[in-house]
Parts: sequence; structure tokens; C-alpha cells
Amino acid sequence: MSDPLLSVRDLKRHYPVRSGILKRQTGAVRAVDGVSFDLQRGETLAIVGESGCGKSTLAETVIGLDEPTDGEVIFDGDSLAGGADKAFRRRVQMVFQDPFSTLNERMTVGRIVAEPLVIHGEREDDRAGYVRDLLETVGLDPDRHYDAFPHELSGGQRQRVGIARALALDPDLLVLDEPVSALDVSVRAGILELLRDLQEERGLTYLLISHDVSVVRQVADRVAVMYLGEFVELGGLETVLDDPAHPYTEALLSSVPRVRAEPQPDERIHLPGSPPDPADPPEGCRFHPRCHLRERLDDDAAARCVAEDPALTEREEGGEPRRGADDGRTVACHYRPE
Amino acid sequence: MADSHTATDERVAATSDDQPLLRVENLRTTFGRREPLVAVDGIGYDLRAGETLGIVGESGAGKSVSVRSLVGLIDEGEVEGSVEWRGEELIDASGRTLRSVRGSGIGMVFQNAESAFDPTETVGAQIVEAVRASRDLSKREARAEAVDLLEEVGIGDPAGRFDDYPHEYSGGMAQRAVIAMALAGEPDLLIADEPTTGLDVSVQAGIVDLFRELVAEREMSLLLISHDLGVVSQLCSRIMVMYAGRIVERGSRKQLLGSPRHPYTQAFLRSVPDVDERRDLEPIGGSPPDLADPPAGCRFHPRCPAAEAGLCDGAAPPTVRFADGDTATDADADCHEATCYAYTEAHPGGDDYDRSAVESIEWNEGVEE
Repeated sequence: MSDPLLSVRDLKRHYPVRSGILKRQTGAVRAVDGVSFDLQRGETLAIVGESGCGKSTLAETVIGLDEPTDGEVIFDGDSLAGGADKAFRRRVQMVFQDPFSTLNERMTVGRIVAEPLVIHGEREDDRAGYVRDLLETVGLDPDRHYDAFPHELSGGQRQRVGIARALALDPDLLVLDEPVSALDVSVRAGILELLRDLQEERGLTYLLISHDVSVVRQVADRVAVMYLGEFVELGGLETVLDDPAHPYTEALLSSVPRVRAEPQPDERIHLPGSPPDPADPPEGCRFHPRCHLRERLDDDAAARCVAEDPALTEREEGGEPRRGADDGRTVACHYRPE
Repeated sequence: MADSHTATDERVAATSDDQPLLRVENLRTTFGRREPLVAVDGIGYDLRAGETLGIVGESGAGKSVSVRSLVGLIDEGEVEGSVEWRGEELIDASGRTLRSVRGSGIGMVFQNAESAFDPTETVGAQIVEAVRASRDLSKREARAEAVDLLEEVGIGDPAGRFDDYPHEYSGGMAQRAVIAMALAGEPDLLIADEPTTGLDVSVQAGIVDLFRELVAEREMSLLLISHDLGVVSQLCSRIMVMYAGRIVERGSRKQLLGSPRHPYTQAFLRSVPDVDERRDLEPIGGSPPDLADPPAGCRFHPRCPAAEAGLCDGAAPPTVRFADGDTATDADADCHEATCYAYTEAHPGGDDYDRSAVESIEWNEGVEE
């Protein structure tokens, strides 16, 4: 395997919690708390989790919109320790969830897409022609849309503008933060198709942030499941989604309401309570207070979940760390795989 | 009932011993006068006691407006047609009548839990108020009832959480509290408009379970609006599909999901990603129409794979009734209808439009068969 395009090493992003008259720091919200992964060229890694798990903070920290508290981001062999440089800002682009709020309403589509080129002083000679080509690439009609304003476009068309703008500097990596969450399903399918085609044609690498497992199923090669600032499971798409190992992954998947002509008897795994406060995460395994697996353990075994924080490791049956596992799936649970 | 002989009336006559709780006929909601926008364009349906009916469709289809129109919650628009609640007409009913129906007959749950509560009052006080508005109870009795309601909707330590303010509740808990408030008047019908949209899936699953339990235990009817077919299929035994202000298909859950007939329903189902397997999704080309200037004929025709020029863009399409499903065994299977020309002789048809299942075709006025 060649060198990864992006390596993230034990990344942390803590926000100070201040209280009292003197606003002393009394704690920290551990939004991202020690996340590591590699992103290979041309692949799509999805980070899936519920609100507050830290996935958006992770994305923002990775692309340099936010400073890491600790840890390292290495892009194409270079550490970003001193902050993101200009080359990085050109080669990594982001597509946001809400195309309605991220486009400047007073700019035409042509100007919106050209803006990154202006900022980086690129393609001064043929900017308009290049932008028109980009609009065509993302499935818009340059003759109709180049001079249009965002409010004249549908949600799907606006997201296409957002993608064209992200492509303007010919990046290597796109960070897709909930790219279809604000769109109707019939439109969603078209955007997912476009993203797949673009990846194929341009060899793009994607880091997808999503709360929607069915979207992840459509586009990802690998998936990381995030809970309370940490990855609890990371592996190949089918490995993780067809045969989830971590109890949280299992509960998350079973919560998705399936479209059923005849609903099955309830086999859902109930996830009690709400995610704990990331300023005060539970001891040991952060998922233990809500874990259905732990309920079935004997007292000694269950005590381990409180006493010891399971690391994300390749494990064999019985949860023992293993060397040279075949599928490369890593799980942060003392007792999974069972 | 008057002696009209429309399909709807015959259907009800067949089950006359349980008269519908809610009967909607030709409901039409228009906004603006100079450039009128018809958000809901002549829809009708019956809802019987204990039934669960879902309305699905994408944004702008008119789902929310259609249910707000039922109970007098449209401020700036004009609502026409007929809405009978237990035989009483609600269109143009007095504000007092509507408030009373909303307080005790029909409970409402909307997407945004925060807007249902006054942020300056405790959750408990607001539920007590809702209880006393519709039932003749003392303060103490109302408080006990409110605590019971909070418990019924799954709020742990309900007495302890009674005096919390709305912002102290998490998103899922706040939505449960809204449901408790909707139950305060012991409604026979719960209208829920996107009740789980914006919630995390694990929280959403809990709310879906709660609705299922409430409907079963209270023998309530449920009218559920959602863009999420998964949520609707988990809760509703009958489903209607709305597109651009009209109902394009209706049927039992089994009919609609097992043998969808309208090209829009078929396309919609083919565009939904599945959590369990990767599928070849087929996006629906184009966008939903501008309701201020809707297309002539079938409103889906500009995006429809089966559209025939000179037919689908002419008069409004006929209502085709299908004889599929297990009508004999399934009480909900009394009606599977789609408004589409593709099942008529006037259209060349195609593999997706199986005419052998057609039971009857009801043409609109002024259209020659």
C-alpha cells in the first residue's frame, strides 16, 4: 500500500469550560479525544455518529479550521503542526451540509465558483471558461446557471454549486460534511451519484461526515463509528455494517427505521438514555452506561468496562487483542468480537 | 350522509358501523390573492377510529399545510372544502370550536419541540395548563395527571423533572414532553407532523416505539406526516403519497410499498437509499413544480418516465383503482388508488404499468373515456 494521503494521529480537540467570576478553566469538553486513522488515496472513509459525538469538530480540526489540542495531522507526508499552509488549503476542500447558508446570496453562481480561483490567483486567463466547464461537470447548465443567483436554484442545484466551488482548485481531498442531509431523497440520489462519478474521474479522496448510515452505505469504502469523541469501531464498509462488532454500532444500525411493507416484530436494540456530557465522560468504556452487552455480563466481567478504557485494537474472538487480523477491523470493546 | 355515489362514499358505506372519525373532502388551501399559490389542491380521505394513516412526500408537497388546514392553523391562507370531525364541520367553524377540538379531540405534535413550549414556564406547569384546559380537574388532580403523562411518554423521574424548564430537557425528552402535552386532552386522534425529524436515530427509534405503544394502548388514531418512508412504514397501516399539493397514490402499507403504481411513488422508492445494502439509486430528474404556476394535467408529468405528450399534460389524470393485495383478509386493503394515465387504454403503457390489476377507472369530469 502506498503512503496514505492523510494520516491523523491521536488527534484531540478539547474546549475549555470556564466558570466562576474569574472564569477559571474548570474542565474541558473533550469533543475529539484521541482519534487516529489513515486515509488512502482515492478511497472514501465515512465517519458516522450521532449529534455531539465530535464528528464535525474532527472534520474541522483535520482541515485546519480549528486548532488541535494535541495530536498530529499529516497530509501527503507533511505535518500540519505549524498550521495549514497555502498548498494544503488548495488541495483540501470542504462541501458543507447546507447549500442554502454557505452560498453568498448576492453573488452569481459564476462568481461563487470562481472565488477560490480569485483568492489563490489562479487561472486568470480563462477563468470564465473554466468555471463554465466546472458547472457542466457537476450537472448544471452554464448557459442557464452561470449568471443565476442562489435563490433561483433548487436545493440540489445549490449543492451542485457548492461542489463545483470545492472542485475549482482541483483538490485531492474533499471533506464532505453531511453533504445530502438537507436535501429531499429524490435529489439526494443525484448528488450521491455525482460524488461517485467525480471520485472515479478525478481520483478524489473523500472524508465523509454523516449521521445517516444509509448514505454511508451508498458511498463509503471504510467506515469509522464515533461515540463521545472516540472511534469505537473502524473497518471495511461491509465488515462493519453487515456484522457490527461494537455494541454501539449494533444499536445504531438497529435504530434505523427500515422501509417495510410488513414490519417485523421488534428486534431493535434499545439504547437507553442520552449520550453523556462530553465534559464529563464516563470512566472506563464511555459507552458502558448504555451498553446492552454489558447487561449480560457477570459482575466481574462488567466491572472491567468501568475500570478500563478499551483501546481501538484488532481483536479476535473474546475481545483479546490479535496480531495480523485479516479484515483490519478495529474495535474498542473488551468483549467484542464475542 | 347525502346520497352521492362517489367511490369514497361507497367505501365508507361498506364499513358503516364504524363511521369515520375524520372525513376530509376536496380540501384546498390557497395562499396569496394576486398570485394565488394552491398548496393543497383538492385532497380527500377518511380516517376511522384506531387507524394509522401516513402522508409521505417531499418538501413542498403540501403535507404540513394539509394537516394544519384541518384544524384551523392556517393564518394567512384560505381553506376550502370540507373537514368533518365526528360529523361536525370544521371549515369556517368558530375559533372556540376549533380550540376545543384541538384541546380534546385532536392532539398535535410538531417537529420543533422548542416552539411548542413557552421557555419561561416549567414543562410541568404547561402540561397542567393543557390538562385543565380540557378537563374539569382540580390543580392537585391535574398535577398528578401531568406527572402520569410524563411517565407514560417515558420521562424518567417524572415528578423530579416536572419543575424543569424546557431548555433543561434534551431534544428527545422535549419531544416526549410535547407528546405528553398533546395527550393532555385525551385525544382520539394524534396528528404528528415530522415528529422525529432532526432527532438522532437512536432517539427517533424511541419516539417511534412510543407512538406505537400509545396508539395501541389508548386506541387512538394517528395521522403522521413525514418525508421519511421508513418512519411512516413503521407506524402506519395506510399510506398516502402527496406530490405538488395532490394525493397521487393511496393504499395499505403492503399495497403501496409492495406494488407501487404511480410513477412518482415508484421513482421515490427507487431513490431511497437502504441501510442494509448498497443499491443502484435512480434520482428523479428535475425539481418539484412551482405551485404558483403548476404544470397542466398530471403535475408529475415533466419529470415522469411514462409521460405521454398530448395526454399527461392535458386534463387531470383519472383515478385508477387496483384490485391487488389480500382484500379479503386485510381490513386496510379496501382501497389502492393512483391518479395516472399509464393504466388506461389512451396510454401505450409499459412493463411497470400492469393493467391486469386495474379494477376500475374513475375519469374526471369533462374527460372522455
